[in-house]
Amino acid sequence: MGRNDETRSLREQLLHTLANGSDMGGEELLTLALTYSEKCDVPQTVRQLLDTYGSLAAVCDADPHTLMRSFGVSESTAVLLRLVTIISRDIAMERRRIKRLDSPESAKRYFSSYFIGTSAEHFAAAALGQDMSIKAVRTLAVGDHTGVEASNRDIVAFALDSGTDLLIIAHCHPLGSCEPSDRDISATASLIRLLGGLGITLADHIITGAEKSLSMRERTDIFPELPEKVYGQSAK
Amino acid sequence: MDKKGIHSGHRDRLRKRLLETGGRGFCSHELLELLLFYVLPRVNTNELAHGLTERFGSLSSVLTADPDELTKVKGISSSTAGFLQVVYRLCTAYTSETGSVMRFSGTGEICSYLVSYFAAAAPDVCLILNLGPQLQLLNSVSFPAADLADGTVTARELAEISLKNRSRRIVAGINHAERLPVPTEEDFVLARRLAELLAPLSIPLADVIICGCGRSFSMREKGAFSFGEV
Repeated sequence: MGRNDETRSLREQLLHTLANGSDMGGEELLTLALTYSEKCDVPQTVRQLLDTYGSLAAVCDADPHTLMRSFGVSESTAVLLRLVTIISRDIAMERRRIKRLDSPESAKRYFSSYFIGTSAEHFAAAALGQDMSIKAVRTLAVGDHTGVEASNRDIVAFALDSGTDLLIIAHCHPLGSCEPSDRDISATASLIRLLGGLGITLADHIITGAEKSLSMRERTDIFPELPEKVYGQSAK
Repeated sequence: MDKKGIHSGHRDRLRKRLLETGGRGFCSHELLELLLFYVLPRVNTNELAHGLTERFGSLSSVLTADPDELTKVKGISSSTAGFLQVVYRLCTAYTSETGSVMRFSGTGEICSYLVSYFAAAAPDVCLILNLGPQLQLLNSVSFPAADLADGTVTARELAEISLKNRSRRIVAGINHAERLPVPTEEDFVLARRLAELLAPLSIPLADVIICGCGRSFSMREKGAFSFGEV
């Protein structure tokens, strides 16, 4: 089998692992990435890079000229690694550009950026103004990879501290699907009733998964009606 | 020049521009275009990149879009959508290791950042943090520390990294890994070289922070090195 065939076969194998939802470490992710940019022995190159730099982040941050000169990587690979750091920062900045959560789409984008990089399940809440502008956002609970639970007390305390009567909550499944469990739905319905009794409207519950996000308002009918001009449908 | 030559020349220029500028001044659709080069070798990716960012709203929205939605766009196959997912997974892994710190509040936060960053890194890696006037993290570049100290990384390369990122100050972190965060002779050589190279460019070396055993040592705070005014 020629080098190109080996690289292609390695890529297919790793893509299959990714598609199965298996957790991939830095070495596997780097190897997969370099199958798109290198014609050399990719696993050996990745091992050399990790032996020198130790972590995926340090490899991506490595000076491109040093990579090409000392490790013989192609310009194509040097560019790809540099793109990872640039785009990672761009994604992190996305959150800072979103000022209003006035649609399920903007809420999904905001929390996708908010939870990026987490390895355990996190639960957060955003307190909103009447125009859906973000007044405050806080992580209320951190769980593990199997689940997270935020107490009603903490959620209500946050809403009252923020002086809001409009809230969006979110939690993440870093390694899994964004589909809500039955427990997610029943807990959310219960919270809607509790908050409603206090004059606080829960506008949505966003769940972010490994690859995409979901708005429970778009998926269920448990949420109170909100005028579309306040919390409009997704633009796309 | 035939079509292949035109595309090839454009791609080479865009790649070189990215390496020269570190991405500064690049629009979202240009970054996306660069990504599409890896999976669409013979197609004009400029229009496709424009179309994707317009349709999905932002680069991060393209990377997190449902693959079924992506493949509805003419020119995007399932393998292209798959590659974009790979890039997103790489970005989340990168952020997982580095956090999403955009601006430091002071030396304490920089020390915490470096300790966390170096937790997974190899010993004797040096991370150069290019900082803006309000301690914004503009860019970070890693080197084997020995390459910086012994001149393997040339003065010109260091100058390019600092000037292209419009750095207002540099902080260097050095990873001692399992060794104590106590400056060694090699660390002092590295600090002196950085300071001497950067001073004529009016870019102060603000600090050199040694990290080891989960702790940090700021050479500035401890008075271990004579840093200029910042």
